[in-house]
Amino acid sequence: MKTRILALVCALALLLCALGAPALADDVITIEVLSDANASDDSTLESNFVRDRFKEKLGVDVAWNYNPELQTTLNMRSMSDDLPEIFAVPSRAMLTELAEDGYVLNLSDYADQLPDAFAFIEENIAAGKVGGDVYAIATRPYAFRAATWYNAKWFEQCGVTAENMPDTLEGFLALCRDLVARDLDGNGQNDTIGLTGTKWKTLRQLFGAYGCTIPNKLVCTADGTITDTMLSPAYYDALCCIRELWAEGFIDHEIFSLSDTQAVEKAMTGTALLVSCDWPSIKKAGVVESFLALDPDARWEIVGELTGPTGDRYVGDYNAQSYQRLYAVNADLADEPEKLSKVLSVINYVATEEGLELTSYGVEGEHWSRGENGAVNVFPEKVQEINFSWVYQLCGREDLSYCRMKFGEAAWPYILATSEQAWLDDVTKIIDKPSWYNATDAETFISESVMAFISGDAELTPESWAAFLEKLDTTYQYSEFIDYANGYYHELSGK
Amino acid sequence: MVRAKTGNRIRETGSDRVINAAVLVLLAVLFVIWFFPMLYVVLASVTPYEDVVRAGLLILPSRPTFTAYSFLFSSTGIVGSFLVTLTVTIVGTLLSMALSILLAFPLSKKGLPGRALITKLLVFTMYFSGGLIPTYMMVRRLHLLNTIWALIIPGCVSTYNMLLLRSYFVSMPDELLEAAEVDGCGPLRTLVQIALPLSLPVTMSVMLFYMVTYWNTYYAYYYYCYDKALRPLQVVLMDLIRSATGEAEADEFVPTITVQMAAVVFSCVPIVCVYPFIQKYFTTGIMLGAVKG
Amino acid sequence: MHKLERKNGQKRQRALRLLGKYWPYYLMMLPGLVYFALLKYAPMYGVLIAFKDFKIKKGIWGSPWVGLQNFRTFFTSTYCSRLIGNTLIISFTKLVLSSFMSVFFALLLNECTKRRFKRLVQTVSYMPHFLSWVIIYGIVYLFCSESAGYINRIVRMLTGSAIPIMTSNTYFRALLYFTELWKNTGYASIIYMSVIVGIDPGLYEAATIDGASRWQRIVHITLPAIRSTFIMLTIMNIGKIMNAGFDQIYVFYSPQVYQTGDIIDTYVYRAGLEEMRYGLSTAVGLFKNVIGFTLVFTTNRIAQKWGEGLW
Repeated sequence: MKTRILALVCALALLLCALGAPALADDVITIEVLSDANASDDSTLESNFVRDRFKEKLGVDVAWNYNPELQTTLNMRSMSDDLPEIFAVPSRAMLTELAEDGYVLNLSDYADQLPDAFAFIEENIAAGKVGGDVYAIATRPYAFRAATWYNAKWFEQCGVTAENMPDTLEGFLALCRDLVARDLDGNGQNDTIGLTGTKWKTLRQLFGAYGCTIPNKLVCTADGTITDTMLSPAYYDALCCIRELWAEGFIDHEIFSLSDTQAVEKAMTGTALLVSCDWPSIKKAGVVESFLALDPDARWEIVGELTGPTGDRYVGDYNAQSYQRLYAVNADLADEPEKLSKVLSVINYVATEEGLELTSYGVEGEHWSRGENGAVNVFPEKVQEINFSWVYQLCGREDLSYCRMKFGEAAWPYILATSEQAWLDDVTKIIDKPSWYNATDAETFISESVMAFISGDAELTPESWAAFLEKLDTTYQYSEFIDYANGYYHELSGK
Repeated sequence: MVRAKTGNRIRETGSDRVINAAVLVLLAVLFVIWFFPMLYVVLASVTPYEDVVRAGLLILPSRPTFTAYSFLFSSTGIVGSFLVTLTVTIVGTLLSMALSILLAFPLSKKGLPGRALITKLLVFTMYFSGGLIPTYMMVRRLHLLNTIWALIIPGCVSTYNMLLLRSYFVSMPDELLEAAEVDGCGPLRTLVQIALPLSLPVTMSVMLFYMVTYWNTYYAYYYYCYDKALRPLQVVLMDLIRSATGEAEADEFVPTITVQMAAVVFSCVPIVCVYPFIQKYFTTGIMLGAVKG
Repeated sequence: MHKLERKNGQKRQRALRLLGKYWPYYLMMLPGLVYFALLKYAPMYGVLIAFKDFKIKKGIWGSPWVGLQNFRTFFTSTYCSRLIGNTLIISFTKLVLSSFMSVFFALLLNECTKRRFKRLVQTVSYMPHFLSWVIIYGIVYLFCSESAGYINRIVRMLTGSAIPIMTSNTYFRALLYFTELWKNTGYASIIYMSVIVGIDPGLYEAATIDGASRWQRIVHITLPAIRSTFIMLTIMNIGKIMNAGFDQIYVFYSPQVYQTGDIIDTYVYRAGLEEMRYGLSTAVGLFKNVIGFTLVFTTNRIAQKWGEGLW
């Protein structure tokens, strides 16, 4: 019944939007949000308190439309002038096109209606800008989550604890090689892998110790220059190290064939000593539970920062200035200032302290109580009930405290520890590619070539590496692109 | 060659026996190659996660558990989506079959003016299409958006399937159809009462093809609908699997592999069950006596 | 003058007569043709996107013409020839292998004398079709994984080292072919089975009485019966030769096998992720389809010489 009313109301709302007629009754207007964030069906929830609060406080009924085929759907609906009030945009490239063609609202013009929102996303507001103006809310990125994990049980069996763990890359690798040779899973075969993970991410800490990261990523250095770490002199050494590890079987040869779950499974079944993944893949309560059945006294800990020969200690790259999602507003609303102000009020509200608390923790008194010094204490039995509310975090959230609440005290030390590791600033997502640059060709060339160097299919010598970089320059215009990226970045961020 | 007195059994020769044996061996090998992975899928869906991970392919169902299935059924909308897909499949298949047969039969008539041209036009659409956006706009113009018809109509007639039907009609002996005409049957009656009953093997095959396509409806939902009540089965299953493996916000973690397997089994079982019923139409000798009689 | 009039008159008479004879058939076709007109032909102006720099708001009519720019982007790619090459090789091999296998399997089934077993094999044969490539990948991984796959366990016992089946250019295509056959042979053979079943068993009996061997019976009765269907399906499948199986390859591939496994569609997919190049994927799609349809036309011409053909 609820769904049918919802459908009717949505259809009506869409119809009215299309006709450009004024909004429904002055009290509560209905708006549609199209997003690839999956919200639970209202009929399954105890109460959609977020939606109720929006209705009560702001006079807006927010109908959430989940659609994973975002790019296609936006194409189709924009062509038919049928866009919802708020919608997620899958990439900056699409945002730029939509903005240039007048489909999305210039939010800078309405900055006075979005003070809290802009303030909340201040660090990465540029990620939603096109030509200097804000065209989409770039939600605040989550905290840094990457880490390399080691099998603490095995390490301790050999007398290594967190205290006497080597903190240089060299020392750590030597230790690991030793452990790998000892056949700690006791199956009589020398088949233990050192490091596993999924795709390029597996190698991020290995690169990080040399001050680099995985290939084809634009990194913003400390002094504000944009570069690709492939071009740094240490990259060659990093590759040599990785190549060696690959050749001896230390690095899992199947990293490109594995999914995150499979990689962690490999680690859990004792096939690998180390695994590179984000903390949710290994420390979420449900994951921990299911893996305990595999190995009841397994303990996996974070390796932490490892200093490499260059003195760098990065654990991976992180989209600090980028976004988690881009939320844009339908430009047609400019003709309906009243409705528009209500729509903007929703976006702004979720960035206020009250709104953040609502979308993260629920209703005060019902789901949580305020402790001393203003801390939020969620009732343990209510955690399940407030599970769905994260989708409404249109501007993002206070990731650390939210995750602590949601994933519990057991996971908290890891959540905190991973976030405090050193990372490289990855700005690839916010640099728009110019039309003269064939990004796909470059990406194909880079992936293939670097992979060939690592796996031994291609000879790695200073000459062959230089030849690779040269070809990257001439055939694929990569350094031209980097120059362009620099210019673009400075314009975008105003730095 | 001597005919056995009982029925039409013809005595096998020695070389026949060798060939029969070879055929059996080959089929048995193929059977194994196909059967065991399927068995794995079914077993994996009822085995606890840790056993699945440890056992690899050779799962022994020592402690069956239905967690994966209860997870599937706990998801809201699974029953509703099953009904949606069922409706779409039944209605869609009937519609597709009707339209396809009504196109195939006339196009099988060699004398039909414009036959070549029409066939060319239809084949052309197999390789060229306007693309999603113009199709979307047409669906919208026809007021089909967010209705169950949006899941049926856009992909309703497949030239490929229609041509399969046509090729059968073409192969039917002319004398048969002429005889019908002589008896005073109009084209429609000839089609329904003579041609169709004889074409059952092919018709049933094409019907199966359509049914499978409709059963797998997924993208059409996301392109043309947004009402959650209209979600087809595959959409609900995919959402479920995605949410169980997705971002850190996912509610619970249910081991992917067992849930994926359960989802496959759940969505396959109905279709796989239908096939044996269709198989009974694959009886040899359906044309027997048709011409002589 | 009279002759001309009479000719025209005759033509008209003939036309009317034809109409009189065939109008029920046209009526029958009407609903189907309406479907094609509305849902296939009317949206075809979308093909124009390929030629335009697609700007969403201005729509298809408003977007400025950029001529062949979209095509140029693809054809000047350094990987263009490799992509086309891979696509054609993989596609053609799949076509040949699966045509052969599905006919072979149908014949095998037909020659099987044990009815119950035949039914069993047939039912099992078409089940793999319903597994998604993601699931099939999972199963393949269990066999082919370099570290723990069953095949490699045996290989390691015998030779001491493992074969990187899934990540090596040497084996990747073979893997694609094998899994494709595994998945689709059964389903593809259904249509051949349905034709074979319609063969008059009296023909077989007569042939046996005349002294034909098993093999001769197959060659002279069974095969000719499926000839039309086979040719027709081959023509239609040749038209799809530019689609080498994106769903499958996307699940199985990795940068290590780009060289032999990267096809047009996977490249275009990556391009779509990098940028919102809607026009590029349409342009490439158009290119593929033009090739496909031309091939259909050509092979159909050839088939017509044998009395077959789609039209």
